[in-house]
Amino acid sequence: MKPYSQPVSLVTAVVPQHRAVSIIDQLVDEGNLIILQTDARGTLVHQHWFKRLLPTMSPEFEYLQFAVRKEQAKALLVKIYELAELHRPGTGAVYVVECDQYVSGNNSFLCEQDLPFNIPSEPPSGYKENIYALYSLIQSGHTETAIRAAVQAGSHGPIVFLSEGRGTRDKVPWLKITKKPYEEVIVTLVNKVDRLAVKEALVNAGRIKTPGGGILYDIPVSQACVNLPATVAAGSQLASTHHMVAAIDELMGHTDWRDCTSFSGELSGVHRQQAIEHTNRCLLALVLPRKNVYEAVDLIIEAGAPGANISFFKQFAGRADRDESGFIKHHEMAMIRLILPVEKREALTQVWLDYIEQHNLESSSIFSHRLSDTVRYSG
Amino acid sequence: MSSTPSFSTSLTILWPYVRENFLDQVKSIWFIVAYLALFQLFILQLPLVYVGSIIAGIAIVAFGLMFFMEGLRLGLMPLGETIGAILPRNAALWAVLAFAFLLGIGATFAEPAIAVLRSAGAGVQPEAAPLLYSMLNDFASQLVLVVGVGVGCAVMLGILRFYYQWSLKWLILPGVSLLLILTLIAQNNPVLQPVLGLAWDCGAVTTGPVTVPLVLALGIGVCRVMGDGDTSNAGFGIVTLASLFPILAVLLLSFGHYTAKDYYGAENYKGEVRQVQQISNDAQVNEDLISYEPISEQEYQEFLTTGVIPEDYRLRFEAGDHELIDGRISVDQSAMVIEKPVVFERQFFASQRWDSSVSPGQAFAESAITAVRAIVPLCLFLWFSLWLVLRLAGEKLRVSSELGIGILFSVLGMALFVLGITLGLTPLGSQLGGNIPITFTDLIPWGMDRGASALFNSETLGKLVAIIFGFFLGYGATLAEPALNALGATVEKITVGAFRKALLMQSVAIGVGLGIAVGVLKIAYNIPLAWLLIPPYLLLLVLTWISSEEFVNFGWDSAGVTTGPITVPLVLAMGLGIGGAVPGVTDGFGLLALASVGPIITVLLVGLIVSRTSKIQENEVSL
Repeated sequence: MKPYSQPVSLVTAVVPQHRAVSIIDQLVDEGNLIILQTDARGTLVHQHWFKRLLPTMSPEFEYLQFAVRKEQAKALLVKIYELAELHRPGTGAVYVVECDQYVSGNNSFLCEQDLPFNIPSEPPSGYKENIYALYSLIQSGHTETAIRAAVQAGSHGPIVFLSEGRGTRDKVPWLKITKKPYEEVIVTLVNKVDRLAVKEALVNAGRIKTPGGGILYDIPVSQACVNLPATVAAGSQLASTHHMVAAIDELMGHTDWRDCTSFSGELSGVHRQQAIEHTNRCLLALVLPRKNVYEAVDLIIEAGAPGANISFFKQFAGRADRDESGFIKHHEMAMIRLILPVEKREALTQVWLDYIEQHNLESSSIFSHRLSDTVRYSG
Repeated sequence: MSSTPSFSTSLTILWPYVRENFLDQVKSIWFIVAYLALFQLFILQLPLVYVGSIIAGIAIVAFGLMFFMEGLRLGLMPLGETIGAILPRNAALWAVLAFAFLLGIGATFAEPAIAVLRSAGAGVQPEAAPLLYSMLNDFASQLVLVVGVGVGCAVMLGILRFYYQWSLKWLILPGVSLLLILTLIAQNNPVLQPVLGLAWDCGAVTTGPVTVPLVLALGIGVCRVMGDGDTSNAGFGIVTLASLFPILAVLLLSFGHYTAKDYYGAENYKGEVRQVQQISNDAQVNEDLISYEPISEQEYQEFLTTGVIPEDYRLRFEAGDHELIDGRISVDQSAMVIEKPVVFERQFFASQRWDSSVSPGQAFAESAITAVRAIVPLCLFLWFSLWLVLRLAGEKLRVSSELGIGILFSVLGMALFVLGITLGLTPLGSQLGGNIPITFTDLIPWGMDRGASALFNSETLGKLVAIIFGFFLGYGATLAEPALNALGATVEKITVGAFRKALLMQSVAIGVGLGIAVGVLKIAYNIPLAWLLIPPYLLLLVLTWISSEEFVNFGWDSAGVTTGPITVPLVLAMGLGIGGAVPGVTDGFGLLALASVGPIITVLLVGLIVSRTSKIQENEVSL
């Protein structure tokens, strides 16, 4: 395990499920990439009240993560844009976040070589650089309200994936049974102009400022292509309301013109003074084989991490996954995310490094992002 | 944050958890309980018998379900998933398949469906349906064995499917076509025809509340390691196969015995032809309830002097020989009895509050044995397999503390839950089941001593009410079914909440309701089962063909879970009750099979509606 000498970018792609298999196959075959994959769902906001009476399902997405050298990120982004046909409405998103530290084993999911993809001279339509990714962990039961408020405040359709939380109740063994089997993590991509409004909406509608409410953090995205659905289009209309709203946003350059009354009641919420907004926080993540994950979490909580959340991934590595009888067997990976004050990062990274050394987990990697903002309840 | 929370903090964490889980169970059972009680009181206008026992039983069911569902979540399902994820990585394919086969057989023996089938076939006459009678009595152990082998093969094939990424459609379409052809052949053979109901019901009842979540979790575990990026339906399909294979197995067994001619009354029959005791579904008469409307001495004197019977008095003949001669009934040597009509007092609760023949202590001991037998051997088998595989791979078995608590919870939960069913749901269900034919015929209400006349003058109208009753009975019972709740939660988790549990539960419940309604129709009018099974399954073949793989998986799997410990006793009680009131119907078979086909149709239809709404979105091409 050693810090990687060059800057590393984390590329996240959100692609529709029915296209995921072919996208993964092509990227693994052509680019020799290693991909972490988990399931996610998109957002469905009903345009008419009567649509709620019909059975509907939120769109299903796959959430893919890649680690590449910083200068390779754009080539990968454009390649994913083409493969996923991200010019079509509601097909998904791809965005790049810069890591400010990356420590990796010999066998981690970082792709060190050059990618065989060309960067077109012109960026694809919809390419943006002023985007933020808001990650919010909200009490289950408030997720839907929060998502609706976020869309109305101007975010792109939020994506939800599952994670397991670790905190107080893990300290008493028998209390573990009361744990929710999973929590929902909402990922919202917002344009810079909408960032504050969306954050306000998420914090209030998601009740993040109430005790045990959750946490919201916000990572600057260096480049992105976003085309996430927010509404069901009526078959009779040429453009969905979402398209029209997006077009007016584009023309106006801001989203202040939108009607925000539907969640203004929430905005005057209580407990406001009890929230802490931190700016000196960072996200520290460890990717490691799934079977080791609980040991690593217990270790880091003992070492003083305030809490952790765990997501499970399948790792796709192409030929390397095939066993001698020809069956593809994936490696199961897990990612532990911690939100920390920057000054704690060194010490906790060292705890994990020791653990990885000790168990010889060459497929692990540790990386961190600087967060631009964190909101949580302070009790 | 680093200190251990105090006891009071622990309680504040524990309390909402207990409350939430308990309320969840109350939400899932209130409908069926309230519906049954109100139907009895207000539509049938009959008092509830054993009301104390019913209330206690229902409360125990809610508690039992709470523990059982948590036990599934904490113990059985993680165990199944862990082993599913560890096996393919550490064992060769043949070993995994052998494990799957043994698991299938073990699960069948752990949750014996044969008792249910026996009760459905309790009224079968050997003369009328010799092969069916023999299958249930002489070949009962063979029947369990072939069903077990069927489930074993199904689990094996289901796992193999994950290795080779086969589409479930390509297993269902030929499989169901084969079953339909065999059904058609059997339908046209008078000896084989009665076996059809048994065979199709076998498919429905084999997958119980322990097997389904376990097998589902196993599949999910396997798919964590195997398979491509399309994980929307990962782990599903085994339950479907485990519902189809037993049908095939039972049909083949009956074909075998038919050709060997060793069933009751055939030339090679080895068992002794014995006198079957007639099993009546009339409940015992409660002495407390007997309240004669006696004819007084004065009235008798009046009758003697005038010789005229008041108009509304009833005359009937006891014993003697009855004969139909030239279109007239001739009665010979019979006693004539004159009775005063019964005046019904409206009464909500019969004075009999507890069923004295059921002792709670003994009932609990029995349900505890059922629970231990259903869960413990299976868990030991899984545990041993896990230990063996890890041992061979040189790894240590790491088990979380919740797992043990979970398994304990599921045993305790199941014991309570079975006890609650015996005390509460069974008396309630059998009352309703026994009483429902009163809508179209005269009968003696369950647990009472005297007859009541049909509620509706028109038989068709009465049967219609019975059919509507069947719909809501199926609907309500399905919502309370633990295996379906577990499936719903799993679907919601697998799709990251895109496919809501409520949507699946409602679609399935409506489907079961429709299936049961058709089942009541079948019994009320004595329609052959094949004519009600073949058209829906043909429709299903088309629907399966055009549906997305995801919905094919969810829809077919939900069919397997609908017939569990809550639905089966209620539905069978009703089926036998109605069957007893319709001449020519001897068994309650077929209802469960129909209850399984309904939800597949509704879930696939919902899937088509859903995909149509999302297609609008897909087809829009940006300018």
